[in-house]
Amino acid sequence: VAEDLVAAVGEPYVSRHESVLSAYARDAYPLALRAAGGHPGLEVRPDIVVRPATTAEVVKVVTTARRWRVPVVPYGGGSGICGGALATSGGVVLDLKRLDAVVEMDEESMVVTVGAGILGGELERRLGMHGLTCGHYPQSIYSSTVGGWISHRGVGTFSTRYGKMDDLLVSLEVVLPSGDVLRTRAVPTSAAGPDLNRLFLGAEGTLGVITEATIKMFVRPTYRRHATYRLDDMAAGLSSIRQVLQAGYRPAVVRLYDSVETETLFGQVPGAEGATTLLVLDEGPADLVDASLMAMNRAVTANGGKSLASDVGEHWLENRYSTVSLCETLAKAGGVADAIEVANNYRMLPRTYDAMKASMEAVSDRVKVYGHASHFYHSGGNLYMIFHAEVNDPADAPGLYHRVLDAALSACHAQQGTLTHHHGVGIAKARHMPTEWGQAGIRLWRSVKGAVDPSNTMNPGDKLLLADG
Amino acid sequence: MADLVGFENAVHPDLALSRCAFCHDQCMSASPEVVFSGNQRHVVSRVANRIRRLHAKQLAWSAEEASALYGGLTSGLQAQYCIYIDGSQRIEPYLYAARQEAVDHGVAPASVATYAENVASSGGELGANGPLVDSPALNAATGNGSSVRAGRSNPRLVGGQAARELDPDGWRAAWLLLGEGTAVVAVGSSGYLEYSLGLRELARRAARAAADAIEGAAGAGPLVTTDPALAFAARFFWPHLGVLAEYPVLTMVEYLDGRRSGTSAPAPVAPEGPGKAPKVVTYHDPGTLARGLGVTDAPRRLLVRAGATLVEPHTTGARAGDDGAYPGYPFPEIAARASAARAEELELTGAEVIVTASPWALANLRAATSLPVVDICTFVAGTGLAAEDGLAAEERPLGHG
Repeated sequence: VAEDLVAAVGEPYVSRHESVLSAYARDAYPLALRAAGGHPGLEVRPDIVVRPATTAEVVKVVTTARRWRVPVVPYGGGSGICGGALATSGGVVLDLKRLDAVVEMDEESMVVTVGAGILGGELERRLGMHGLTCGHYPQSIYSSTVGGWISHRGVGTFSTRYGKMDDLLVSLEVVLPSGDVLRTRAVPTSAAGPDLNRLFLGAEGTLGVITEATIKMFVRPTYRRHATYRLDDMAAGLSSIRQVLQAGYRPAVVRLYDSVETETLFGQVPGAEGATTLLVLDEGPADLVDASLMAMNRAVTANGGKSLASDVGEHWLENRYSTVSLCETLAKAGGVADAIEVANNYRMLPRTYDAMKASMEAVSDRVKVYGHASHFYHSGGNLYMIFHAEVNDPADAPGLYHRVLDAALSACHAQQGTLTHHHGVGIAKARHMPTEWGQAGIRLWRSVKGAVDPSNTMNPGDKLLLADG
Repeated sequence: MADLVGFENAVHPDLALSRCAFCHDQCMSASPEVVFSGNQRHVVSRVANRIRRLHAKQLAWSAEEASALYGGLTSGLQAQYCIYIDGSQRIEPYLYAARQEAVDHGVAPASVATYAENVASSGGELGANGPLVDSPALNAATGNGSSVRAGRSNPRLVGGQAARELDPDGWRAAWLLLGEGTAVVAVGSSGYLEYSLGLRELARRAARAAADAIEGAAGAGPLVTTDPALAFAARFFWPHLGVLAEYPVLTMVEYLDGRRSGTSAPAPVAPEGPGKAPKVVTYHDPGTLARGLGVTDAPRRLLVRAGATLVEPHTTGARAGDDGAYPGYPFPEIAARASAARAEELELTGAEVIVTASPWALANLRAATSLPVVDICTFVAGTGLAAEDGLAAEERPLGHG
């Protein structure tokens, strides 16, 4: 296999050396991150790392792997926290970061075509030079790629204005397991049968390798405002947000923190203690921004909220990409932490929050749970349920992690929610997929997977949809 | 690797290796080796993990392991994105210490070994393969060796091989700005590169030689340089090498701006007349000046005072993109891509001229763009600002820092 891969991409771009393999032994899945750092967790190891630079080279890698029936795991920045890029079955890790070209910027249609391996930070730098932005700012923007955003149906912190990757994606180039290259049309919409883009949104590399994508871009806004409020509880905040969104406003950032997270993040802000905090921020044309902030102010006031005179918005902007609290917990020998992001409709969101929090805390009195909601739509939004725990025996940490995760996802499903809003499934949530989709859904998916990838070489293992059965 | 631990404690107690290993890699887009080679092994957390495992003897030293320690262009850009530290701190100290281990194990990249040999034989920091030659023409132009003013307040211009040979124009302009007759102290190397490449003994020798040259030079005034790497080395590396400078070494930008901050007079009107027309200028922040020394506003003030219309690139200040690499860096193709990317960013501002404040940055950018690239001293001297602003040597304060 190695010889064929060398022939495909060149010797410098095929490696079996420990210094390279170990770099791909983890993504940001908490248990893999712990193991890579020397704590008990999930240890995996690819057999070979390949770094192609063109779509043609990706075709050669994929067909080589199929011929030898070797697993192929597409890898971007390795920022996913569900383990979707882990080589749990060994095989070939296919790093796509050399596919990093900005192929075309169409400033008339406001779309940009890029190699799927371009890092988010680099994409923003390249667009920023022209006064443009991709509008997609996930917390992992500096360590994730466009291909990863699509494969996991990612979301950015300004999503209420710009949308999820589901909304930002225009077209794709995908290398299929057969070696065929699929290119969808870069048009705003189409009725030519089912949307093939959607087949690969969230497929997590199980159906092929995304090599190029056309996504929306935007003029970098120069006008931005923010406001912060205190509310009595999550329900009051969610009600305010629902009224604003359903009236047609789309403020870029809407973040509702529960009282525990408020205490952690904004405990020093006068008036915030013990409250639920709502941060709203908008950017773009001044009249739109002013209108959306006024609308939120009216809604919050009607729900008993009060304005907080503070620099919470500035503080959040400065620290929005930091995940330091999660990382510091994971760095402890007995520490586990994760941010579980689910979604539900407005009617069910308050009780979903209550149910998940109660279930997670019931696992152990060592588990601290807090949360926020930060992406909203016409009919509902997401919840981020964050937990930290520390056990005395580091060997017990993985078990505790699984118990908290299972409790959280089961509670979410019991409230008719979906188990992931934007992190994807990976290995972390795969065993809950039968509940998520039901048996009919699972059978349909396996039919699709079996037809597209009959040799089951594309990112196999206990991932996404239990593709191995 | 006891030295590594000592280094962390002395230089950077907040950034233990163990923390760096557990990270979501927010510095990845600031790592040129990752951006321009796509290789995950250059991600800082992966490097930190391998250092930890080398330290624990779970891994054996090898050339492959060692080469990964030479990422980051040693510029400090990654620290600007680190979730554990603030931007004024630096992420490199443990890399430097680990590189020293690689050198000691004889597995450092060939480029480092070659650089070490050339520095040892030439005494010059450029690592040129041959003896360091002081240009007679340049010496004459800067009055080196002729009679100089040696009062206590008169500044002295100090520079290594890079300052004098990579940008002779900037060097001469600095001398003119300081006033003809300013004492010149020529040293071979500041030790900056040697230190960052893990060549500690060479760095110690260079620092000692530079300090000796300074102590033996005429005058007792403040030391000023066009090379921020020299100023950085003197302030932060030399003490670790047991070499203490009698005076702080200021960059020209700090010195000129310090003089301005000492006056309450408003900034003068931009100079006018033939040869002094204001230009549309963009400024590139050199890593050692902006991130290392924290000097970002001063050069902009100087440029505006000099009549420039300043247009900013997309990334500026401490987060300005890297301009490329120094000698000894083992990945020249990555350095070339970094230079090209930064040049493109600067070109897209529409500026007529790129101004910077480091001979290293100047050389890197000149190799990557067709736009004129000049040192800030060259630009300021060309506008006549110094004369019109009355920058007479006797009026200058002792400086700061």
